[in-house]
Amino acid sequence: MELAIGIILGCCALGAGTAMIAGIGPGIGEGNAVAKACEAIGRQPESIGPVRTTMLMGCAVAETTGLYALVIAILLLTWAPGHLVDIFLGAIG
Amino acid sequence: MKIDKTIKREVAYIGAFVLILSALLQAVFLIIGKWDYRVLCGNLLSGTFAVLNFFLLGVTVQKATTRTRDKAAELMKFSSTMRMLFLFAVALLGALLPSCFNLIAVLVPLFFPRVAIMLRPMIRRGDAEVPKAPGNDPEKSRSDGERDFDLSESSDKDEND
Repeated sequence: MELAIGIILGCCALGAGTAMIAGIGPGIGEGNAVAKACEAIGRQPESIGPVRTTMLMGCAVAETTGLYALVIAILLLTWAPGHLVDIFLGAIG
Repeated sequence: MKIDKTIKREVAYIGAFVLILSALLQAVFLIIGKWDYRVLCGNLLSGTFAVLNFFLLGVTVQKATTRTRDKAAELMKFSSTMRMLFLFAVALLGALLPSCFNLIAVLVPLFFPRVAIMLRPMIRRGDAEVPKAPGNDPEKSRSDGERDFDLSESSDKDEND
């Protein structure tokens, strides 16, 4: 039984780690967006205001993907292990 | 460093929306009968850090736009990682102190800035219907040689070049 509980806890930790891989995406996406925005501002310096606003909103939206992963990871680390172990113990009686 | 007016305006908009949505969240918890001080504490913690995260994003964007392309991308990646860790720490704090914070009330407000951005076109729709002032016709401006900012136009130009 200890082995089964250990496997459940290990899988939760592994799942949390895997979920956080999604945290890489927003960083790369935001980096690319800002690089392109810098190019655009270099070409049209008078457009810095609209570019900044659009970029800010775009970056905030891109970051939400990472937040989803973060929430899943937090739930897998804190909430899920106890509940899964309870379900397992309930199932075996 | 002086904070740009645009950033201040956007942060104020997001902050106002987070306040409204937080009040809505509290109301939902009250209605379902699960409200206690932990819900309020969790909401305060998470809502504050969600707005702070957006403000830091704005400051980073302002800094990045004054740098070269590669340095801007590097700065943005670094900032994104740091802010993600920062939010992770906040969410973990909320999860590890169940006697102080309600987990749902900690996690849900992290998405409020996204909801605010999603609702933005609905709020701004009224602005598009405002009659055009004389001399403020975009079509005329375009014909005079001025261009609205459009990334697709720029990329098309690049391709043609």
